[in-house]
Amino acid sequence: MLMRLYTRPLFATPLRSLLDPERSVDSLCGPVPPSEGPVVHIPPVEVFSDEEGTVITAELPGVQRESLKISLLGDVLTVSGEHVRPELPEGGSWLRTEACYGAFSRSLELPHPVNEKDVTAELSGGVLRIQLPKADEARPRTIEVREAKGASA
Amino acid sequence: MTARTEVVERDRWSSARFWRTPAADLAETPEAYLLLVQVPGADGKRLRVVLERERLTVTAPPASGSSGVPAARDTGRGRTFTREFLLGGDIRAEGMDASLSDGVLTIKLYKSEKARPREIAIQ
Repeated sequence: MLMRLYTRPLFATPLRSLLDPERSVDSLCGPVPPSEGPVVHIPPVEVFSDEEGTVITAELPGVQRESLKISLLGDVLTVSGEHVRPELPEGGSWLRTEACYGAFSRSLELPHPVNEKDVTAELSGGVLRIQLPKADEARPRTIEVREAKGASA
Repeated sequence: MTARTEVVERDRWSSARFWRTPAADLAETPEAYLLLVQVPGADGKRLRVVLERERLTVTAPPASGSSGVPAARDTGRGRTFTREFLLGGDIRAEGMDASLSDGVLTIKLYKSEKARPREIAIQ
């Protein structure tokens, strides 16, 4: 019954690892660049390419559409934005944070040229999906082989 | 080095190849605890939050079609998020709220009467 007297920590195992003071919050959010500038998180992405083009998905739970920016410069696509920490009601305080709040940025070199106007992006359920169809000049073209004129059959 | 690596390690040792451990934040307000579980791409209709005695289990399968992109390597996408939380004794079992928005599941766990701060009137 003594266990029940706990008010904090609220959670025992398996959340124990995150209540471990040895483990800093920063270590949960990917590598921190050893620079003196602001910390920018790198969101995990998945990239898939086929003959039609490339699809990139990024997991961005809690990120609002308005705070998201996608830019294309040459063949480098950059997804950046800010994951704003939700506001707590009055008198509330954070006990533990595992999510990566703050600025994030990820740049990817595309394996083929794309037409900017054909790029589409949608954010749904915390997953960003960017579709980048191949530019026409990057698509394979089938060249028909014609019979030479005057060739004997 | 990163947490992501650790999750993979944990998966390997627990042979939980079909599960994924979501990140979670915990906050406290005077009357409740707020648990924010990061479940991007989860299917809201098949999401399950079960409180059994002191064990809170969150199970969030991916929405069908969301993981339609076959990855070059297994990054864990398309696996069901699952995580168990053991609660202390100061939680009221009834009246738990849960809502899913933008891939974040917010669970509000109300404190029991005795765990709430009480103001004592000075006579």
